Amino acid sequence: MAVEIYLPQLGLTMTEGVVTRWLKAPGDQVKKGEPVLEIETDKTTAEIEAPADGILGPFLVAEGAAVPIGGIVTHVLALGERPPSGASKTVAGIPSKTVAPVAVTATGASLQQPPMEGHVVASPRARRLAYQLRIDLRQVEASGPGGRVVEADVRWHADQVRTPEPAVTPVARRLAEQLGIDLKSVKGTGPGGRITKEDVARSEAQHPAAPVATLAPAEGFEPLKGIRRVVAERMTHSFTSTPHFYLSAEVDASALMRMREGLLAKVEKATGVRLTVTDILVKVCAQALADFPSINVLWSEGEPDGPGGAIRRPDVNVGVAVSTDDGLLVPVVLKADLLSLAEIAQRRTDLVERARARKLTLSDLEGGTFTLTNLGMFRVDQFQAIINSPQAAILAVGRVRERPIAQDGAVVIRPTVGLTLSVDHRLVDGAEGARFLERVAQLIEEPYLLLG
Amino acid sequence: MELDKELLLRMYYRMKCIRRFEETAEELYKRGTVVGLLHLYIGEEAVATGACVALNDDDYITSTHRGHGHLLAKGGDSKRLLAELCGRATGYCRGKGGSMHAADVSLGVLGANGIVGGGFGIATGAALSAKKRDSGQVTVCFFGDGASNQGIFMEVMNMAALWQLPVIYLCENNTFGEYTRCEEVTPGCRPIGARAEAFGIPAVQVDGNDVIAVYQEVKQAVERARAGEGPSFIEARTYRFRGHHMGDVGFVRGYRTQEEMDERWKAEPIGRFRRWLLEANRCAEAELDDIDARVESEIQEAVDFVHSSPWPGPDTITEHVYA
Amino acid sequence: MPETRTLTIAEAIREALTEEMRRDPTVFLMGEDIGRAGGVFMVTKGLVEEFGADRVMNTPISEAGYAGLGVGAAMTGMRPVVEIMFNDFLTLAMEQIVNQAAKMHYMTGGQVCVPLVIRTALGAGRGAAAQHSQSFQAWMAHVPGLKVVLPSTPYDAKGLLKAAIRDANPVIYMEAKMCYGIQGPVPSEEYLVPIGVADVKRVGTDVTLVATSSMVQVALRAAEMLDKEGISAEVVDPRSLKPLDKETILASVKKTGRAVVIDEGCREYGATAEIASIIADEAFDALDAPVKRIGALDVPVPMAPVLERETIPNEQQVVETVKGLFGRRY
Repeated sequence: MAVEIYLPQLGLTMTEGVVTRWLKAPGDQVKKGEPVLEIETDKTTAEIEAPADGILGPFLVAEGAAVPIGGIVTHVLALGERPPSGASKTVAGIPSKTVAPVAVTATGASLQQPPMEGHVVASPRARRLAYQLRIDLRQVEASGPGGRVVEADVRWHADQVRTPEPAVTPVARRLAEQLGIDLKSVKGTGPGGRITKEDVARSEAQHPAAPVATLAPAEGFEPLKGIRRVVAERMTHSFTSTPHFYLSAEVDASALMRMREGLLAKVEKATGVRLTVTDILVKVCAQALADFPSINVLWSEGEPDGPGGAIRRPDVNVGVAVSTDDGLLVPVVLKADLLSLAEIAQRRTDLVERARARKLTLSDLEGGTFTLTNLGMFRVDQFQAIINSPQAAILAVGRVRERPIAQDGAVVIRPTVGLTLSVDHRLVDGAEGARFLERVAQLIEEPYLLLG
Repeated sequence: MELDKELLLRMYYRMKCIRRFEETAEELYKRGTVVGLLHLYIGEEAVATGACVALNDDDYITSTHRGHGHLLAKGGDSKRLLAELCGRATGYCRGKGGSMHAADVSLGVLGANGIVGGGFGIATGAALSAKKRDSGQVTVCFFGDGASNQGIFMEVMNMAALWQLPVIYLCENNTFGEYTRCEEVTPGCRPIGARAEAFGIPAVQVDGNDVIAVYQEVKQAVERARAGEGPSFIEARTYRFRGHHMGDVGFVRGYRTQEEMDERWKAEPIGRFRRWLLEANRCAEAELDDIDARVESEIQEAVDFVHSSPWPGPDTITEHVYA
Repeated sequence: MPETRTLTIAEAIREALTEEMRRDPTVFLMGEDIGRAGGVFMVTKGLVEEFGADRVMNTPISEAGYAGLGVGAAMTGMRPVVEIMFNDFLTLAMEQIVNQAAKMHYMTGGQVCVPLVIRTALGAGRGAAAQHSQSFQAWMAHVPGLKVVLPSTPYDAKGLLKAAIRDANPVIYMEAKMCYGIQGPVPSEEYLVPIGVADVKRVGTDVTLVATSSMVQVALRAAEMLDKEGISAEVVDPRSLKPLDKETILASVKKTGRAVVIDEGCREYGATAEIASIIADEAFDALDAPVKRIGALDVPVPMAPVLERETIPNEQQVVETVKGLFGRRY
């Protein structure tokens, strides 16, 4: 029985991937687990493995073509089996090099029975909920008896993987934009409730939108793609749906700088990396979060029709904003409160390197509970950052500069740094946010408290 | 006992009704108009008639699977009975009961019954009810020689005697229990009435083909019952001239011979009664012929009634499951 | 001001009989040892003293006979309440109940009704062994034309019996012999419990326990145990098996997503099979787990208490079964 090889959902925001390289050829024999092709997403590259032993069928997607999540790229066939008919699902809008079907004649190979094609054991209630929430059951971790997916599993999955928008194929999205149709009003009939081009067209036919004066794309128009596109979407969502408020503090950085100077050599000797202000700030934030678990939460939409709320996270995972040529990435230092400064420095260095080399994996990017963004290497005194949804807060750090400040009635020159904490008012009140910022400031000004 | 002419003619009329009804049902069954199971009463008319004529309209009877005679003898309507046999909506039971469950509760006929001995409990219960209500009603429980071997017969006789219930157990011994001769299942051929006597219930035997004899015995038993003297047992000996049911044809089952049937036909009740009426000068032949003609036209009416009656609608299937 | 007293189930039944006999002279009782001896379970104690032997009739040991008398009396204007001492003895009266009482109204095309009540006792637990410990509600419910009710509390017992006596149809009223001593509040004021209406005995959110008769107490005890494990169980008591209140049962399962059906009849082909299949059929999309059934072990009931005990459904079984319905996250 033919087993599909399809494009899996690899990350929170991934909607499609591009086939960058086929590692095998049609007709090749493969073993379960063997890499078959490489794909690229908005965040990362990945290898797709064969889900079963068998012989590869014809490739349905050429190198360079984009595939939506769930799109079938090829099949693993049994000896002598023909690929499923109608399997020439050429991916929407992108020409593919058609490959002639290959008669499968390998001899002598005894093949394992492939597992039941695509079948997920799930309770009817779980199926219904998954359909409503547009969740692919194949992605849900089953915890029910006998490996059944139960309702609670789907809910748990929904909480981890927030897709606020309905699943839409790229073509449908483009068409909807052109026609000026609001995707929320379109009913999806594709797999998992996905909105397809046909759905959009049907919606237009039933309720033709008022003609919208669409600006013809101007010369030199470059649509966003890849990471930039994702960042744009997420920033828009965060900025428009999260009630932000901002708390600022100017903090004496002299102790911070002295500490860094003092530890530089030691850290470099032990790890080979240079300790930066960011590293220390990661530690400071982590400690403050450990002290204020009410900030270490994520926003959750909760039940459909019910109020949203906080999800408390047990670990303190601090994300560090990294700017790359392709766009903004936020790799995560996991359990930062438990790491030493040296360990944080190592981890941070590794993440930044791999981010810039586009070698970050999914686990590097997942699980963050707080974000630190430092533009202090530029001539920015302070700034307000947009919260990295669904986190509760983000700390924006400006440059360290010499400033005249009042101390004991006299004017002295001290290095100071401007901190701005952006907070989600649904999760944290002003006073609580202020207390947290106060703690951060305290740890920066009296870093020996990190030892206590 | 001098019986008045009106009563005698009524007896003749009722017996003729039954006979012609059964013969007609037989014909219609062969044509496929009467459906289901059919158990004919031909030859036994004197038992039903003699007994029912001795009862009031509000007295109860329970009947058997061979029950058309009892219902008609009690004054039932041959149109509605024939329609019921044919499963029509206009039948006594709206086509839901058929021959074996036909009933006319307004005349106290608490139903024919498909279970041999099915009437024992109901009849005794009706007698219990009448006694509690002090209504003076009596109940005649018709049953066959076959049913007298059901255990419940003993149970109800025990209670009827214990509580002095106004019930008359009338055993129609028509010689056969289905395909088995009575003597083959009765040890020592002891009279069935001996069982009743064991409970202290007075038991008599009567010639079931003599309508007047049956009438007289039942009348006595009714008076006992109404006077509060309790139950009685009557064995009316008769003969069944057709098979157990319509499928029992010829002598295939081997329980009797043509010679026997011919011999017994000599004592057939209607012919016998007619001869006696004329010989004893109780009425003119023309009167009897009139009755015959009247019966014929009533039977024809019944047949016409069936042919013009609708079948019950499908929505009636779920009616009357619960009251 | 409506007053409530605490009565046992036996007392509640007695009170129902007393009230109905006072109210309606056509109501009378028949059964073995129900007169002077007060009934083997002491339910009819005192009734013959008030109403006399004519209305509280001590019968010979003739279940078929006096059940048949009940049918005949019911057909002719009376309202008999017939006691079959142990429901195991229904077998002797099956002909009268199934072939006569249940069908008379239908076969006669509606000419006659049979307003008969048969009171009988089900259940094991007394070491009474195989012929005195069965539970035949499934057999009775399988017969069109009968109604079958199983009260589990004194309130339900009184209300259902009064309703049964006033019903124009033959009603099999099944008492649980081990539950006669269960106490509960019973109003002094007149009230009826309608036949065919279920009762939610305990509200919950995570699993529906549908339980009949003696098993209602088992389900309630199991629910307390489950509470400690963080599972909130809802207990639905159908009260009538026939006609069955499907709506209440289905509404509960649609809420909780999980169902366990518990009845003291043998599990195979038992009443639970009917209810479970209705749930699986009509609440299919709401189910988060398969519907489970718990009944008596499919063996004749053994005498030795150590053996008998294992054949009757208990709260431990219910708890284990319920826990098996959940995934790791709940």
